[in-house]
Amino acid sequence: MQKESGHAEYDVLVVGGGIAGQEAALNMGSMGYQVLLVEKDLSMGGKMLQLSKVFPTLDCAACIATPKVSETARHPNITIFTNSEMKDLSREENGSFSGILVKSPRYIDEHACTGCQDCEEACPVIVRDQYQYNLVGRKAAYIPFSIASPRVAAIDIDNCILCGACERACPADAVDFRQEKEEMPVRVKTVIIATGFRLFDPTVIERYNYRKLRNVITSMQMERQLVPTRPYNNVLRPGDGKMPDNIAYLLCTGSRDETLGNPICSQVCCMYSIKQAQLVLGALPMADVTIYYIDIRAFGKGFEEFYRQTFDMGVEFVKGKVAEIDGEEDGDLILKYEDVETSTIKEARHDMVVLSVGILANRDPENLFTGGELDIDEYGYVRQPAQLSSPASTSMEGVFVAGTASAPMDIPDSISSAGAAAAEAAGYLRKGMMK
Amino acid sequence: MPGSKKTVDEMKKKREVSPQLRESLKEYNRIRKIIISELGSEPKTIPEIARSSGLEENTVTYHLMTMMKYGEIEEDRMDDMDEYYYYRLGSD
Ligand SMILES: Cc1cc2nc3c(=O)[nH]c(=O)nc-3n(C[C@H](O)[C@H](O)[C@H](O)COP(=O)(O)OP(=O)(O)OC[C@H]3O[C@@H](n4cnc5c(N)ncnc54)[C@H](O)[C@@H]3O)c2cc1C
Ligand code: SF4
Repeated sequence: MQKESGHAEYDVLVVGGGIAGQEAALNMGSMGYQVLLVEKDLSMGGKMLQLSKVFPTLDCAACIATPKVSETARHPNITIFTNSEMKDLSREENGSFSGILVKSPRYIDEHACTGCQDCEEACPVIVRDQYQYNLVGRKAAYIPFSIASPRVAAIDIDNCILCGACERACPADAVDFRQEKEEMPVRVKTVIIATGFRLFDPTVIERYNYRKLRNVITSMQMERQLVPTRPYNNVLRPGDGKMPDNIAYLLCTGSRDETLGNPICSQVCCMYSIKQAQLVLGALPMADVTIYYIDIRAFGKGFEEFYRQTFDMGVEFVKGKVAEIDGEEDGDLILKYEDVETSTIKEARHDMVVLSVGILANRDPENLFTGGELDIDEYGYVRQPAQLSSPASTSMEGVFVAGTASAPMDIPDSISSAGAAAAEAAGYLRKGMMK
Repeated sequence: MPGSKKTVDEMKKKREVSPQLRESLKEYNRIRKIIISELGSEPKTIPEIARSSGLEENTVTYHLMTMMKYGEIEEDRMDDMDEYYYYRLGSD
């Protein structure tokens, strides 16, 4: 980092440290550019670090994602700020961008913390663990999750009772309640937006009774139940700890639905549900799995074969629209659905229901630049004005987009799009920036 | 020397702890103690704990799983129907 007129200077700012942001940063760093990577969360990695295995190869997600995270963290040309955001980004006369990097306090000295978790053990507070999608509790002094990067503690100050137990327990003297928000002016020549996606919140669909019926869970909660660092000791019902033996998946929850304001396809729900069905049968070989779908979108390399494999494993596919989920005394669930094949209304009983929730736009990029110069499309994603000829370009010269910040997509497509964003950003820098 | 500094005192001057937070912590500990006493005599399943303590099954699940995460509880055998696990108190 060079400092000039009080600004830290970099060639490129990457906003978001998910798989797309890391890939873009690594490409730029390897070409010799100085990269500033700003991540809002306590850890790098985005959603991929929370996944079990990935379709269609069933590779372990963490086994692919963790080395990439460490490579990014160790790269000499990449400077990472986690728990941080950019504000007031604006273009200067010479075409560069200046803005303020705001780093929120984690109340832990990141360099001193050894990740021993003594603070976590000492902390008396229990609140819902957002990284386990609320299935289990965590402390207020905590390491976000075992493969977090950086693997250092943080104090959730809103849920802290200020007892000081963590500070007394820490052998490295790393706890520091004096930390405050830090603001640093930065200047960059080009920007890559990789802010990713949001998950659809199914409480919006009241007739599914998510949260009221405890054995209705989201696909992300099932994803967590399928990883080695899972919240429970097996795949179990949150309602009563029963091992389910008749699980239903509801595809397109929150996608392709005009009434919810999201008419588009989320691209990944069919495939991740098919993947989860296979993994569930691995964990619970005696279970029945039924997938309720509108139509199956298995368009990528190896997807159709992967889909067919689930037939052989005995997964049942029902072309049907689920209207309602009701609960029984014993925690089982009754699905009322329209069987599309016969045009009849039917009922089915399952002991656990997984809502295959869709992908929604993260609206953060809207406010990234002052003056509203960055165009957003009708669904809230960063607009790609030349989607065919220059897919990484945005409405602003010198600003590029990577991964699900531009549209729903899977991991391989996010990585390819990040490669394209890095190539376009490098081309832009080589050409001497703005025309 | 580790543990000698007390920066938390400075935070206490700036922030108040909400009564709701104290209340929810008390509630967690109340349920935690019930579960510990339920499992004191023998391993039980979640519905068994709920039945004999009057707690909701989902409340027992959340608390018991959190206690298991922090080593207070361990998994035991499965019931005869292969539906529910038994849980016992942790060995340490
Ligand atoms: C349940 C489920 C299962 C899935 N399974 C698979 C699978 O098996 N195979 C597959 O290929 N795909 C799968 N996917 C899709 C996959 O998760 C995405 O393709 C991938 O995570 C997209 O990566 P990304 O970097 O674009 O976004 P994200 O993973 O969302 O990362 C974005 C990052 O940007 C950060 N950020 C956001 N806003 C800001 C801001 N304002 N400033 C700074 N940082 C910010 C976020 O904290 C995050 O770290 C699955 C998705 C779901 C929901
Ligand atoms: S803050 Fe201290 S006690 Fe907590 S993990 Fe880091 S080194 Fe260990």
